[in-house]
Formats: sequence, structure tokens, C-alpha cells
Amino acid sequence: MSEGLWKIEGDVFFPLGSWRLDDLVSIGFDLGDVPEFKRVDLSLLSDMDTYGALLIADLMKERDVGLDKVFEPSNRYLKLLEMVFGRERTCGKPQNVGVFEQLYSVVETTLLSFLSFFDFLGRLLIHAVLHFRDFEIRVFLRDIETSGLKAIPVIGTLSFLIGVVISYQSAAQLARFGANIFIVDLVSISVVRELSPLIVAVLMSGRSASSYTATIGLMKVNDEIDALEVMGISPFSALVLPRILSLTIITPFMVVFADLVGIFGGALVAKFSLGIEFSQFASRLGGVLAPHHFWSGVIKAPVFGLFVATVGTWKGMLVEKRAESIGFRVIESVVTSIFGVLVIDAIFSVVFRWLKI
Amino acid sequence: MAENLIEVKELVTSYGEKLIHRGISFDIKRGEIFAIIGGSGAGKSTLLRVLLLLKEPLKGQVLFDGRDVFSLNEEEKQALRNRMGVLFQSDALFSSVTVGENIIYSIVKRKRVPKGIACEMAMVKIQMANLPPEVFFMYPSQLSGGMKKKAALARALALDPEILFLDEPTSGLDPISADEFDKLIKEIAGTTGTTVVMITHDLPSLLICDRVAVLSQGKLVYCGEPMGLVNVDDPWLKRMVHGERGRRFLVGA
Repeated sequence: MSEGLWKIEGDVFFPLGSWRLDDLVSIGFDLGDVPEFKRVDLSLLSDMDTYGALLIADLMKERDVGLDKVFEPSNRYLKLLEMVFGRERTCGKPQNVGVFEQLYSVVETTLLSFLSFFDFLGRLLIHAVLHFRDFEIRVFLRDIETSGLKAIPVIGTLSFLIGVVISYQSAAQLARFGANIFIVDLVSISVVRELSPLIVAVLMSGRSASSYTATIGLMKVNDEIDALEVMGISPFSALVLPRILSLTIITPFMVVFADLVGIFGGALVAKFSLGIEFSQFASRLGGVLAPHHFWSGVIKAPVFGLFVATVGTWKGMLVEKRAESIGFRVIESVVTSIFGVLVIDAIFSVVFRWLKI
Repeated sequence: MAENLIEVKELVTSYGEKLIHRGISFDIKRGEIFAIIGGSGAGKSTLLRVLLLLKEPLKGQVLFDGRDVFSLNEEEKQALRNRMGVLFQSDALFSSVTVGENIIYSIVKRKRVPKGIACEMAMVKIQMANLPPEVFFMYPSQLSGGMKKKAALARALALDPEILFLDEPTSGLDPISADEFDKLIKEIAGTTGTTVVMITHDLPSLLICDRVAVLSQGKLVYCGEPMGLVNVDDPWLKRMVHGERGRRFLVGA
């Protein structure tokens, strides 16, 4: 089949018929064994595109046949052939990098991205002090609404379910020992000290950190951050600070709300599966739930909020002008903030143990 | 092969109630550089969408090689689209891969071309678009506006289209880059014999064109040699050609 595309007469190579992409695809770019030739005659060619020209140019180069050996009476294809012939040969694959260099570059980028967090923090602090007049109260208020008020239904539902599940799981075990009333201790302390701060922080990571990263990232792609800077407005004070403040302020309230709903869920299960009346539950609760339990949960909340918002905005600032960059940074921001929240929680536990709280 | 590659006959299009084109007819000859000009809202972009088979007209016909394109089935439409290359106004380069991969993508996906040849080909196209070879490994975000345009042109040329559509190719370029780009288009059309259909409102660009169609208020007010524009009796065109910006066009000619 491929023989139909060319013939050799003496030392002259004649491409025949149409040398367009579709014709070449149909022979799988396989011309068969083309013998040696010294000249090329394009007069029998009926059509040729750059793909055809590329193949002919390659054949000529392999045999050291120059462009001056090409005969073409109509001058239709010569310009195209000349252009393809004169190009730089290879795609020149980028050099293979060794394992060591790859490892080095991974470590380097990880380290740099870790360090960029402190760079971000430093700028944030300086801008917060020097450019506080750029603080955007509207961003702050809107974020109180989107990150706080609009999160109430989902935080309420989740805490309620957590309270229900915890007390439902333990009810059967406690009943076996006749220690029904201890359900109050179990639910209230676990919910108030650990579960609601964590649930709130994880939800904030999923809802707010991701939205901060995407919002600020898109603004960065759109040059909006640069536009602010040129107007003499600090993007840190106008975009980052309001979000960090709003999340820091809103999380303690969310945690208190989650505490209430969670304990209510526990009390419901206590009533219907262990027969503990609400009044009984409440009086036991007053004795068990010492203020330090409550405060040790609430005190963690602003730290979580601060951390989650800082990570979300920081990752947003790292977005580059590529379509996949925003997606990539949102993943990073959610993973980093959830991971960080758990680490901070562990540190708090150790510190509280030391302080015997 | 017929002389006319595209024939538009009594085309009427609308968006909802609003008529965009009120019966326009023209034809585009094989191998020529054809420009479509008109003020904002004159229906240039809609006309391009019709020619790219993205929008169906209300009435009238569009013939490619003498065949009515809107009576073709999906497969035939795709085959027709494979013969077209488009340079969109906003480059539309895929930002997450290199320029080389941008070009290779359509070659490998649409035709069964071995990766090695596709790669060589992409390199040819990059050089055809007058870009240095190292652009092959660069990401679109690393290029300047003019280079992005050229990279997008290289991608539009990937499959050796018979007909190349350019949507305001010189918008956003400085006059020198715009002139270079015009020259490049003329050169490419000359070497490959590609038919070029260009939408523009940059008058100096018309100097590389063989023929110009002028849209105004849904009608075709002129279709012919670029120099004939000077004598057309249309208020919009008069302001355009004899205004401040038009002077450059007259001087250049």
C-alpha cells in the first residue's frame, strides 16, 4: 500500500499522489523501504501538507540530499518543504533528572512551601499593624454570615448526631453495670472537651478554608490582588485579615452552640433508652461538668479558627496562573488545616494534662 | 474542486426575538484571506459561530464545497470541523500543560499519529508561528501576550487545516506585534495554501486581505477589495475609514 505513495526512477525519488495527514495516517506513517536516491521530483505530487513535507524532508536528510536537488516545476510545494526542511531537528527532550536531584527538588519545594507560611505570617502581621485602615469591614461581616451563620444548620445536625451516637453506644454498656447515671459524665465531658471543638474545626476546614483558598486564588489569577496593591490597598488587610478575624471570633460561639446541641442529643437518648429524666440529667450535669471542662474546650476554638483561616488564605495566595493550580491548592489547604487542627489538639491535651486541668 | 470553499446564502440568524443577520450572502474563495469587519454588536462573532457550525441559522444556507452544512449528520459535521482551525480571541490555550502538549493534544487525539511524529510536527508548527523552539516546554503562563497568540496560532495550525478562522487575532497586541502577526498570517497562508477567514476591527490588518466583508446593522454593506471600502456609502464605515484611526489605513495603502 505504501508503495503507492512513491516510486524511484534511476536516482530520482518521485512522491506520488496525495501526501496529506489522512493519507499518511492510513498507512501508519510507514513508507516501507525507500532505496537510496540523489534527487527528488515533486511534479507527480497532487497534494501535500506539512506532514507530507516532514516525511519527505526526513528522507532527504537521511540521505544527505539538499534542497537544491529538488525539482518542482509548479513551485507549489517548494516553500513548504523549505520551511519544514530548515527547522530545528528534535523536540530535544528535557534532560533526564537523576533520582537524587528529584529527591532534592521535592525536599526543596516542601521546605520552601513550609517556610512560605512564615513569610505569609510576617507580612500579615506587618500589614495588619501598618495598613489597618485598609481593613474591609464588609468582607468581615459577610464572612461572619457565610462562615458562621450559614454553618449553623450543618454544625447543629452533626453535633446532635455525635451526642446521640455516643450516648447510644455507651448506654448498653453502662446498663450492664447498672451505672446508667454515668451517661451524663460520659457524654458531657467528651462532647464539651474534645468532640465539639474538633467537629467545628473540621467543618470550618472543609467549608471556610477551601472557600478562602478558592476565592483568593481566583482573585490572584484575575490580577485582582495586583490591582489592589497598585491602588495602595494592602490585600492582606483588605482580604486576609477580615477572614482570619471573623473565623477566630466565630468559632468559640460555634463550639458553645455545638456543646449545647450535642448534650441535648445525649439527654434525649438517656431519656428514651436509659429512662433518665431531663431534670435528673440536668442536676447531674451541674455537678459533673466543672467550668474547667467547658473552658478547656472553648479556649481551643479560637486557636483552631485562627489556624484554619490562616492556612486557607495562605494557600490562596500561593495560587499560580494555571487552571489546575486552584484545585491543587484547595486540596492542600483542606488537608493541611485538618491535619494541623489535630496536631494542635494533641498539644492542647498534653498542656492541659501538665496543668492538671 | 470548486473555486468557492464557503458560500453563505441569504443567512438570517437571531438570538431569541432579536435578529442578528437580516439576509446576508457572500462567498469565500479557496486560498484567499477573507476579512469580516463591523462595529461592536454588528454580528461578526455570531457569523463566526455559524461558520464553525456552533449556531444554527434561522433561514438561509451555508455551503461548504457546495454542500449544505446544516443538513449533515454529526459524524460529517465532525469531519468538516477537522478541516478547520480556530484561533479564539482569548487564546484558549490549556493552561495546565506546556505549549508543546497543547499542540500535540489535538494531533494525537483526533488522528492516529505516532507520538514521535506528533512531537516533531508540533515543533514545526511552533517554528511556523515564528516562536523560538524552547517555547515547546514552556507553560502558557510564562509567555507574553504576543507569544501566547502565536502559540495559539500554532495550535490552530496543528492539523494543517484547509481553513483557518481567526477571531480578532491582533486585539490586545501592540501595533508592531500586530503588524508582525499580520505578516505571519499572510506568510502561512502563502506557504500552506490555507484559506483564512479573519474577524477584525483593526483596519491596518485589512492590508493583508484579498477581500473584505462589512457587516452593519445585520446587513452586508460591502464585499470586495479592501481599497474599495473608501467609497462605500455607509455611516459607520465612513466614520471608521475616515476617522482618526482610519488615516493610518489610508496612509499604509
